[in-house]
Amino acid sequence: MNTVPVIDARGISLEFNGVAALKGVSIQLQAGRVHALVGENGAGKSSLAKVISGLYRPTRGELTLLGRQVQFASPLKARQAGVSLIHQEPTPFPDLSLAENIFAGSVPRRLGLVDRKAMLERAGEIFAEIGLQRSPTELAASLPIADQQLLELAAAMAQELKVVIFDETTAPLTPNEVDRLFGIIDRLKERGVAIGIVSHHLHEVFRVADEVSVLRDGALVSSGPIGNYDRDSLIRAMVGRDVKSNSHQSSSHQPSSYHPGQVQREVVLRVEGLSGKNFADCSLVLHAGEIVGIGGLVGAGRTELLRAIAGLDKPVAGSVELGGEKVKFSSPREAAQSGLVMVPEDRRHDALLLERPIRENVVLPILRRLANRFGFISRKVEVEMAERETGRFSTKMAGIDQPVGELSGGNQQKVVLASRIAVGPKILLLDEPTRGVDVGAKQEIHDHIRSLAQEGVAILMVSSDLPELLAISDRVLVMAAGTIQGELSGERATEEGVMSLAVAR
Amino acid sequence: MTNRLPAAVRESIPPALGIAICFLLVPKLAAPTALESIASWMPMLWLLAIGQLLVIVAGAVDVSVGSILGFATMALGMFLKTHPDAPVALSFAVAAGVGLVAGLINGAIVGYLKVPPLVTTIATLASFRGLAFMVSGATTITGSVVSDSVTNLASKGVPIGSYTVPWILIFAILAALAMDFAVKSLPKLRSVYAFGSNAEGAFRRGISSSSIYLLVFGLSGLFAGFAAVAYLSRFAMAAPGSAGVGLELSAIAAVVIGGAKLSGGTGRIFPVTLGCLFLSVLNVSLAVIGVGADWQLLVFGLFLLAALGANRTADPSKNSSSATGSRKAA
Repeated sequence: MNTVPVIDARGISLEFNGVAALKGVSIQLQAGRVHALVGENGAGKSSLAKVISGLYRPTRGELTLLGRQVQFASPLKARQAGVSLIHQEPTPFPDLSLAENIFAGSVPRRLGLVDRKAMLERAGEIFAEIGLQRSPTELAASLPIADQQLLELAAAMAQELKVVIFDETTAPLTPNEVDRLFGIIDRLKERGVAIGIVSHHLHEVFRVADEVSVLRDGALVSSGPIGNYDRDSLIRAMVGRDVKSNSHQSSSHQPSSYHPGQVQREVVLRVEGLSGKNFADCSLVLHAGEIVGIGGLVGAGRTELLRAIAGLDKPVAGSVELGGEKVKFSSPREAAQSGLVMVPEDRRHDALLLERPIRENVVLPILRRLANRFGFISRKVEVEMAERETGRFSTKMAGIDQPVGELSGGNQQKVVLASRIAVGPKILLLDEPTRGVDVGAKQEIHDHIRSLAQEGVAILMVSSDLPELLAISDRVLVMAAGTIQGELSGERATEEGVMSLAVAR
Repeated sequence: MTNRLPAAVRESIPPALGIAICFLLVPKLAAPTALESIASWMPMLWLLAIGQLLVIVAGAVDVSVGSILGFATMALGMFLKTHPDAPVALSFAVAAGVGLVAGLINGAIVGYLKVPPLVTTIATLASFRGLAFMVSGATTITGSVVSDSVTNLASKGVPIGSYTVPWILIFAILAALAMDFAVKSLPKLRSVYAFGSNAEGAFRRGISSSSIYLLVFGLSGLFAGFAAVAYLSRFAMAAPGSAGVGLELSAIAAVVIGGAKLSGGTGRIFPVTLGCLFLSVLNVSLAVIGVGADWQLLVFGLFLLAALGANRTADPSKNSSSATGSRKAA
């Protein structure tokens, strides 16, 4: 066996605007071996995969390929050197044929012209090798996501493939498609390709990996042959030693506006057997004044569930009841009229008009209500409203006429919350309410969520931030692979408890 | 099942239907005078549309081609004033050279200064029109200036039966065949399709956006230069304030009727050719049946809308409503 590792990354650090995503990580990928990278959301797994495949340039550290130091200027250079990354969400060229997808940017030529025959032949060979049963002449537009991933792999194999990293590739796949992918990985192993996989699913890791490395907060915390680990020890390494103290601390000053058994609260939302894209058969109940958290890993179907409840996507089965009445929202506006409001995760795309002033952003959802009987909106009323709503959050801003895009992430999020709360919801769905928000703003947002609950608003919150999830939720539902795996509350609501349910399948 | 058909056939159906309908409704179109009118009108639009097609495949748009045509026409007219005996090849070279330079300027602004294509070409639409005035000293090119070698391109040609296929149409046919071969066989032009289909993916494959823009706008300008020769050969006169005004919209319409997506990535020479033919036939039909000048533009616009609508329904990929609102998140 070759002793020189195919990829040897030493002391890799990566910073974005001074924030460390990777802190001195060293890792080796060997020929014909599968190396798994595991860790919580945001631990740095994907960043490391992107550094190795030339998408990010490391701030510090060095990378060698077969003993030679390399510095990939671009993903193309990495690919030409035989290093490829297969993305969870592939980006094919929908208007081109599959063969052209594989060879885009580096078509086989004869006399300077496209050698179509060679292109189709070679594509056919690669498809046969990876078991993709498609014609090289068909268009990529209609390909299901599993085949799109294989198409990326095929493109990688058009060059001499030395290293391939699968970044959460199995997340959107069905079990059969996962089996097919693992079959392909076995064949790549036999050919001596060095393979990295980034995965949330520990049973998959135990199934295919030869080595495993655990990342936490951008640092390598544990690494070794897969035989040295079992499920529990991996989870412990992912979550870290200081978990227990953390969760105790958070549960101790848990405000708990809701005490089961003490007061019989009104059920405001009942979801029965709801199914849709990426989630199935989800049932839950939400009481007035209660904060219910939804934990789980990225791709578990949590956002999709919230979107379906809010009427953004149509569920394929199941029902949603609001205050005892079955509802079928066909738009967020209908939902808001019934008192249900969702705050989306991606505030820049889905929740804000970045170039417009804070004032307009805050009053946008309630413009109709502000209009006088002639249908006009009084500037004075608008200003008062915007000042009152932003004032509740102590938003740091130059004034309500400042464009919202100029604010920091935390203050932008406060504007989003202010605008959605101005609607006066009875039920608030929050998707990652503090993502990309600084610590101070986070605390304020948490306080505000709690006080809303005390006023009787029912809150359903998706969060990948475990301490946050445990600190402000009255109970926590954990999702994995599109279904609700269990409910945790009180003593059982610990980081380990959540992770243990989240990696199940 | 329209979506089972090859794309080239599917994209050809709406313009072909439009042409068929025109001929059914207006039998007089088959008369030699009407056909010759179509044959002399079409090359100019066709050449513009071929250039425009590549810009649209790259996901951009070039609204300055009418002004480039005007500029190149006036430049050629001034050249013919001083060189009345210039061979026709030199006339082509002058107009094509002016068009190419103008197109490369567009391409450089979009590709290197990163100004959006629509903004860039709206600005150069004005600027090149201004140059058309400057180069001609704001004078009109009259018939006495335009040499026979140029006008013969439209009036003489290869006789087929009782018809004459004008030289300029033969040039356009050859240019279209050459471009059809080029877009299928030149690696660089295949990259334009990849870039228009998915710019981020193209970047990952090392395809440079700057060189793509320089290429497609350069070609668009070059073909506008060819179209200038067609213009001058047909009208034998040109005024700086009117030569080519509004033709950019016809060219864009022809490309879209020919099935190219405005978002980029698709577009074929043959269906676009039918798109040009349809617009030419429609234009001539309205004149033949005597729709008054006051009604012509309105009727033309309504037909255009119908053709674009037909094109949209024929493309299965444009009908799926599931493409919206499914952005993936946690």
